[in-house]
Amino acid sequence: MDFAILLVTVLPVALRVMVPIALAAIGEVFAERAGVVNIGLEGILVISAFFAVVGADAFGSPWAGLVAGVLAGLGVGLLHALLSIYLKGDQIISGVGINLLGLGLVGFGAVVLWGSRSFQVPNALWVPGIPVPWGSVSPLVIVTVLAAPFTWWLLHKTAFGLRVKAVGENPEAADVVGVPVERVRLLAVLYGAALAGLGGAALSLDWTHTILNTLPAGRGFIALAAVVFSKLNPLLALFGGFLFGYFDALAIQLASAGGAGEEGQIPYQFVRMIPYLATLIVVAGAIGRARFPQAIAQPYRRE
Amino acid sequence: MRSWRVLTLGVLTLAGLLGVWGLDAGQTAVGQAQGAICLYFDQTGPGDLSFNDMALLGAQRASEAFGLELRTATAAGEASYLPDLQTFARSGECLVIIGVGFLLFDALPEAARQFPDQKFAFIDGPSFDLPNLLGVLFREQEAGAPVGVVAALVALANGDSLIGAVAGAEIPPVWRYEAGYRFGAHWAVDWYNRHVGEGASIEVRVPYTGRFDDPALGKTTAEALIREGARNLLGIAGGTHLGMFDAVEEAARAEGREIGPPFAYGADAAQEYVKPGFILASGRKRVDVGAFEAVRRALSGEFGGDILLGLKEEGTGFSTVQDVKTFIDLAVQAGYPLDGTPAEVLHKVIQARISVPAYVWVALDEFQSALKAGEITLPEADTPEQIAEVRERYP
Repeated sequence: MDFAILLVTVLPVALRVMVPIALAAIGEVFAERAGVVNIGLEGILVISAFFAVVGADAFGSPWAGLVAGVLAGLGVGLLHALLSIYLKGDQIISGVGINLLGLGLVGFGAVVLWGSRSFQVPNALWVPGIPVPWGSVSPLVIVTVLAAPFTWWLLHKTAFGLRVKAVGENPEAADVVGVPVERVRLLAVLYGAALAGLGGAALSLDWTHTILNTLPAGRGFIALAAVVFSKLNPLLALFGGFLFGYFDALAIQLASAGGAGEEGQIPYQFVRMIPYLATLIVVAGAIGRARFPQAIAQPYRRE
Repeated sequence: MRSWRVLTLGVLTLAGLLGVWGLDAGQTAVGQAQGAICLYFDQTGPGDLSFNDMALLGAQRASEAFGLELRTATAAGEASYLPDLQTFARSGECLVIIGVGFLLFDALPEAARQFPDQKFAFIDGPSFDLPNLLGVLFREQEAGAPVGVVAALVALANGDSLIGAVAGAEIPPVWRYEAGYRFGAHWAVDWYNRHVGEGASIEVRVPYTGRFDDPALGKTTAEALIREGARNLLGIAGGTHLGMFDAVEEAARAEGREIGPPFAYGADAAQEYVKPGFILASGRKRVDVGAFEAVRRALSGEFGGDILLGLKEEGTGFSTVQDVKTFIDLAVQAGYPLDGTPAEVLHKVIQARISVPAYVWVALDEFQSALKAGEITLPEADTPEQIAEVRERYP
C-alpha cells in the first residue's frame, strides 16, 4: 500500500481508537480542574463497559446500554467522590482501588452472568453507525468530538466553570465567598466519571462488541497521559486522544502490511512502541510542562 | 497485564475471593490416601471456555475416573506463582500439582526443584529434565496446519491470494501454531495447483500483537489484515483474537452476509459457537487430554519427562462437528448465552462448512491422513531461529 494512501486509510480507525481515551481524558480534565484526581479511569472504563453490555442485553437496545454505561460511570464517580471529597481519603489510593475493583468485579460478574469471562455482544445490540460517503461513522465519535468544545465552554464560559476552577485553585477563598466546595467538586467528578462511563460503553458496545475484564488494556492510563499532555485543556485532551489513536492505527497497519516479524523486518515490539513513543515526543517536545491547579489531589478541610 | 503488574498486591484480595469461589465450584470431595489433583492456573484462570476450562474439564474427568479430590486455584498475578505453588506443595495433600499455562515457565521448575518429592506437571511447558516434573506439550503445528490448508483453499476459491493470523506474544506454542498454519497453506497451494487450477499462490501474514488480553487491539489488527485483502484469519491470541472474530463478522455483515467470507478460525477450543457462520473451524488443542494424562501418569508411576500430544494421540487437530457440539453443550452448561438455540447454532456452523467448495474437505482429509501416516513432516518451531526459518521458507 502506498504510504500516502496509508496515512489516510487509518483515519477512520484512529477515530475509533480515540473515543474511549478522549472521553475519559476530557472528563478527567474537568475533574482535575476542580482539584480531584481520579487515576481510576481504567476501572471506570471496564466497569461501565460491563454494565453497558448488561444494560443492552437486559433492555434489548444499544442505547439503553449506553445509558447504563454512563450510569455505571456515575456510580463509580460517586464512590470516588465519597471517599476522596467527603471522607477526605487519599485520591490516588481511591483511584487504585477503583482499578482493582474493575478487574475483579467484571471478571467475576461476567462468569456469573454468562458462564464465561468473555462475552461477545450479538449484532442486534451493536451501536449502529451513521452512513457517510466513505462508509459509516460511529455516533460516539461525533459525541466525543462535541464533548471537547462543550467541556471547554462549560469550564471557561459558565459560572459553574468558574466555581470549578476556583475550588481547584484555592478552595479556602472559594469557600469564603460562599462557593460550596465539596458540592462543586462532587459535580465535577461526576461529570468526568460520566464521560469516562460513556467511553467504556463505547469500548464494549460500539468498538469491540466484546466484554472481558481486561478490555481497556491500559487505555485508561493512556487517557491519564492525555490529561497531562493537554495541560488540562479539554480541546487538547481530544487532540491527545486522537494523536494516540492515529499512531496506534498506523502502527498496526504497518505491522499487518506484510513482512512484519519476518527476517530483516522491524520486530513487532518496536512497531507497537510507535504510538507511545510518538505521544511521548509530542508531550515532551512540543507541549512542555503542564501546570496543575494549586489544590490538586488535596482534600478540602474547612479550618 | 503489564500495566497491572504494579497493582498485584491489591489484586490478591479480590483474587482470594475468586479463589474461594473457584475452590467451591471445583471440589468433588472423594478424598483418598493417594492425595488430590491440584490444578493451578495463571492469572487468566478458568472461565475462558477454552484453554483453561479444558484443563479443568480433563482434571474433572480424571477426578471422577480415579476417585481423587480436585482442588483448583488461580494466580492473582505473576508475583504469586511461586508462593502459591509452594503452598500447594507444603500442604502435602497433592498427588500432583498441575500448572496450566506457559506463563508458569519460571515458577514451575523452581517449585519442582524446591520440592523434589512432590510431583508436578506443566501443561504447555517442558519438564526441564527434572525427574518430578512432567512436561505436557502439544504439537500445535498439527492444529495450525489443517486450518492453514482450509484457510488457503477457501481463500483461493474466493480469488484471494492472502491469508492471515492475529497472533499473541512470541512464545513457542504460538510459533508452533504459526509454523503449522504456514506449512498447511503452502501444502494447499500445491494441492490446488495439482487438482483445481494452475499458478495459484498464497501469502501468509501473521502480525504479532504481543498480548492475549486486548480484544480492541485484536480487532484493529484484523481490520488492517482485511484491508490488505486477507479474508481468512486464524486467531492465536486468546482474548485478543475475540476482537478478530468481531472484525470478521462486521466485515461480512457490511457485505450483507450472514455467513462468511470473510471467515475466522479459532484456536484451542472449538470456538465456532461464539460467532456461528463467521467462524468456519478451529485448530484444536486438547488440553483436557493433557490434564487427564498427567493425572494418569502420576498414579501409574511412569512419571517425568515430556509427553507430546499431537494428531495421533488426538491431542491436537482440526475441529470436527462433534467437537463443535461438545463445546456448544459446554457453553450451555456454563450458562453462556448462545446466539440462538443450540440446534440453530450447530446448523449455522454446518451451513458455513457446506458453503465452501466440497474439494476443501477432500483436501483436508487427504492432508490429515498423510499427516497421521507420517508422510508429511511439519516444521519445528521451538526457537526463534526455527520460526524465522519457517517464515522464510513458507512466506
